[in-house]
Formats: sequence, C-alpha cells, structure tokens
Amino acid sequence: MPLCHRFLLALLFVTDVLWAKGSAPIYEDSFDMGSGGASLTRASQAGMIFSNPALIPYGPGFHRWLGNETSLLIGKDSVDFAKSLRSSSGGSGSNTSEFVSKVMTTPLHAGLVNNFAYINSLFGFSTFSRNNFDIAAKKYGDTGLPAVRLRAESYQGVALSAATMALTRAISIGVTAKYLYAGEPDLAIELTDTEALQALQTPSGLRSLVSPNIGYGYDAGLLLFKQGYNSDFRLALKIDDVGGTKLAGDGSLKLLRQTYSGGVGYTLHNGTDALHFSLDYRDIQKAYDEEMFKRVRMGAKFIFRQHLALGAGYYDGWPSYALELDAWLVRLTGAMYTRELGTKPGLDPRTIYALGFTMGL
Amino acid sequence: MIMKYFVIFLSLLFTSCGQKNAFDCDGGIAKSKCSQRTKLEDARIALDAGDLDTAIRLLNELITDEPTAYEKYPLLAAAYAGRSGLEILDIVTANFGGNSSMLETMSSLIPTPTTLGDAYPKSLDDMNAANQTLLAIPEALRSATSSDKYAASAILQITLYQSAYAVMYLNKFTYSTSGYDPSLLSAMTADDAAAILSSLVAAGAASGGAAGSAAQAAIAAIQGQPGATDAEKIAAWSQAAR
Repeated sequence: MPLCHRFLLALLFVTDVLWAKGSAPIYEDSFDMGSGGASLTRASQAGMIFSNPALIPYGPGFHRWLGNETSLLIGKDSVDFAKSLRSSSGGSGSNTSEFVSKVMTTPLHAGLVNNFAYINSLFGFSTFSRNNFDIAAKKYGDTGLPAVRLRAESYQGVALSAATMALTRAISIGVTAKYLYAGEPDLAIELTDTEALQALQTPSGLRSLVSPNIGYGYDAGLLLFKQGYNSDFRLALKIDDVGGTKLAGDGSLKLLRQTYSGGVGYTLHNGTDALHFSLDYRDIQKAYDEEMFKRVRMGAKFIFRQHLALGAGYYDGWPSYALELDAWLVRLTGAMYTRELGTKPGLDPRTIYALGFTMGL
Repeated sequence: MIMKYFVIFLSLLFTSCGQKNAFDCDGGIAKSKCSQRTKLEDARIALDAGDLDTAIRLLNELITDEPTAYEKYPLLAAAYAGRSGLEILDIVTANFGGNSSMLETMSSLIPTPTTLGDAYPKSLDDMNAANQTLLAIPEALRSATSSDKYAASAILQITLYQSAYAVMYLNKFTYSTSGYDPSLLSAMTADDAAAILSSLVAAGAASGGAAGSAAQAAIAAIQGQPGATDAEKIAAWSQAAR
C-alpha cells in the first residue's frame, strides 16, 4: 500500500481522539491559556467552574454570566504547512510525494472548544466540549523507519458548581460536580507495519481508539481574598478529581487522578483598569509525575476600561500571549501559547493559535 | 500607572529567555529548576531536524556506553543511511515489485558519483556503516518473529540498505562525475564483484518482502549473464538492466 494511502487511512480513524491527561484542567479558557494558564486565582467566566469554583462568589451583582464561547485552535506548524502548500500549488513539483514529504516533517494540530455556561454569585452550570487532535509524522520513528503518531483529546460533559463565602468575604469555598465523556487515544504506527494498520480496521481496534469513557467526579476549591483600596491579594487551593475520577468504557483512559494545586495572585486596580499577576503550582504531590515546567503556570492579565484585555505569561514554560476585545454582547479573543506534548521542554512542542468568539452577557 | 507595570512585565517576559522554554536547562531562566533532556532524546531531536552528524555522534556515544542496547542500532543505521543520501521515504514507498528491475528502481533513489562528485566515497562509506551497524545486532535477535519492535525494523533496513549499497557500489563503475559511463566497468575487480554480490545476497536473505525478492531476482539475473567471472557477469547485467 502506498505511503500516502496508509497515511490517509490512518487519518480516517482519528476523528474523536488526546494525549495523557496531566495536571491541566479539563477545560481552560483561551484567554486564560494565553495569559500563562495560571487561573486558580482569576479565571474568565466559564473557566471559573473548572479552574476554581471558589472564584464564583467574587464580582459585582448576582447575575455574572450567560453565554457561549467557541474557540478554534490551530497549530502554528499547520498554518505554515497550509501556506507552503498554497505557495507550491502552482509549481510543477506539487504532487503526492511532495505532500507526503511535507506531512512527514510537519505536525498537524487542530481543535475545537465550546462552552455554554450560566453563572451567578451562588452557582454555575456549564456544558462543554473540547476536541483536539495532533498528527505527527516522523521520517525516523522509534526504530528508524517512517512512523505516524496520532493523539487526540476529547472531553465533553456537564459541570455544576456551587460556592459560598464562608462567614466573611475573605474566604470562599466552592465545589464542582462533573459528568464526563473523555477519551485520550494515543497511537504510534510505523508506515511499514501493515499488521498494525490492519488491526485498525477491525471493530475492536476501532472501538478502543474512538470510544469515550464515561464517569463523574468532583473538584473542590478554596480562595482566600484580601481586598485593599488599590490592590488585592488572593491565595487559592484546589483539589481536582477528589478521590480520583473513575471512567468506564472501552477506551484506555480509566482514571483522572486526584491532584492538589495552589496559587497566588496579586491585583493592582483603580476604578477602571486592573492588572493581575498570578502563579499556579499544580499537582503538588506529582500524581501525574510531570516535570516542573508543566506544573508551574504564571502570567499577568491587564484589563483596560473593561473592553480590552491583554495577557502574557508562561504556559508549559513557554511564553504565551493573549488579547481580548469586549464589545458588550460579543467578545473576540486571540491567543498564542505553546503546549509541550513531550515530557521535557523542546521534545514535542506545539505552538497553538486560538481564535475565540463569545456571545453573552 | 497600571499599564506601565504591565509593559514592564512584558519586557521582562521578552528579555528573560526570549522564545525559549523557561525551564529548559539549555537557555532557560537561570536558577529555575530545569529539565535536562537525555542523550537519546537529543539524538531523536537531531534526527527529526535532519542534523544527522549530531544524531550519529550521540547514538554512537550511547552504543559505546551500552553495547547491548540493540534498540538504538536501527536508529544509528537510519542516520548513517540518511547521511549517505538515501531518502528513507522514497525507498520505503518504492515499488520493487513492479516491471522495472531492482537496479533501475534503486538507481532512481540513491546518489551517484555524478550527483555527489568527490563526496561519493564518503556516501558509500556511510551506507556501509549503516549495514555494519545493523549486522552488529546478534542474528538471533534479528528474527522476524521477535517481539522486539526494533528487530522487524532492522530486518527491513538490512534488505533496503544492502540493496542500496550493492547498487551504489556498482555505480562506482557505471557513473563518472560527468555522467553515465559504462566504460568504467572494465576496472571492476573480483573483490568489487564479491562485495556487490554479497550485499545482494544479504539483502535477499534478510526478508521476503518485495525488496528482498527483487534482490534475489537480481542475483538470478546476474548468474544468467554471459561471462567467465562474476565481474563480467555483473557488468553484462548492469548494461542489460539499464
């Protein structure tokens, strides 16, 4: 079977497929990710439900948010790849061989994230879906022959949060209950391995690849908040997947481990503008055995006149940036961050562009 | 005032380590707890980036440190073959079972003295090194039925690289730096012929795939050529096949 056919065949079987769950929340707002991903002490709207439900009580008025956010994610490499195809489409050398050659040196990464949420000062509700896929072909795979690695993340579900200030405005506690459909297929195939490709064409092989597992779990958060005239200080503690979230089904993702995370935030503000610095230290007990660069998030968010927000920070140790324009009912978000899919910096990084469109009030 | 602080923060972000990872031991933020990649991880990065000299150096160091780490041998062989000018994607997808002879198919995929000039002997040495690296894996571990993933890769690579080496060796006597020149075939010695034949035999014996069958067919075709010596038969086959 020609290489290009094998590659396309492999693509057909990857429609709902993520890499191993780590210390990151199952859902993150694009602006928060572009701001470094340190969202334990400050998160954008629906992001609060997943980052730290104890954030919910803080804010003006009873009603906080009703709206829908959709983000399109695309890898920088994929964009460059598309540009190169476009520029070479008129040339005489544009053929299948050239296409495959480019594919073998360019990781393809894309995703679609959606969240509909309602939040008031007491509780929040969200339905969400997050689907990412990553296809990285290598000229020299694990054994020196061409190989393709297919990874995907698929998380859908509903989440319900409740939070309250405990006796005083200085302390808030919150919990989130979540019902999840989750899958993280990760498959490496050598293009010369016809047996592996044939196994993909069997019902059982397919089922293990695309079937989401189902389960429910709980998160709990705590926020200590000290408000000053021109500055605030926040300290957050969070337990994700209390007791471990067990998932049932044919997929390989069976358990989301309980993790403890802590974060600090410091905000400078006046009547109209705010600047928030934050630092998260996730998965303190290393339940996922991730290195420091994946567990430390830091960044700053600058909110100007409530209509313009800029963010910058370090996500997975890589610089990240975000911009958000808020025009009352409509909000546009652009973010750029880098996810490290490998276990060490530089092994398998993906720079991702996120474009978000939000309607809500 | 608040915006000023943000600009200062952005400046710090840009100047602290540019576009590097803050936790990378190579160029990250000083004094942070960094992540050090292993030599094998660096070798794989070099391979993917096409920096074959670095990959070969690192893999050789790893194999010297641990000679029984046979899973690294096919990687090193692939790096040598890549440095010799062999495009692994082309060779893996080549149609060895078609109407064209093995010589024609392989010739279209490998460098020649015409394309490489003075660098051709080095290219030939690299291809030979690729084969020797794979043959250093004990034969018992190169079984097609082995559960080790590298074993199947090693067998396929031996077939492809031995075939490539045989044709590259032959090309020394069919191509000059200015183009196809079969008059050079008269310079082929018995040792040269033996080297070509032994590579084809090794290629044919390694695996039963299309490339292996093509190598076996080439040996049969050589043996059927007129000539008193192997060198004469190979010369006749070469000219007939082209």
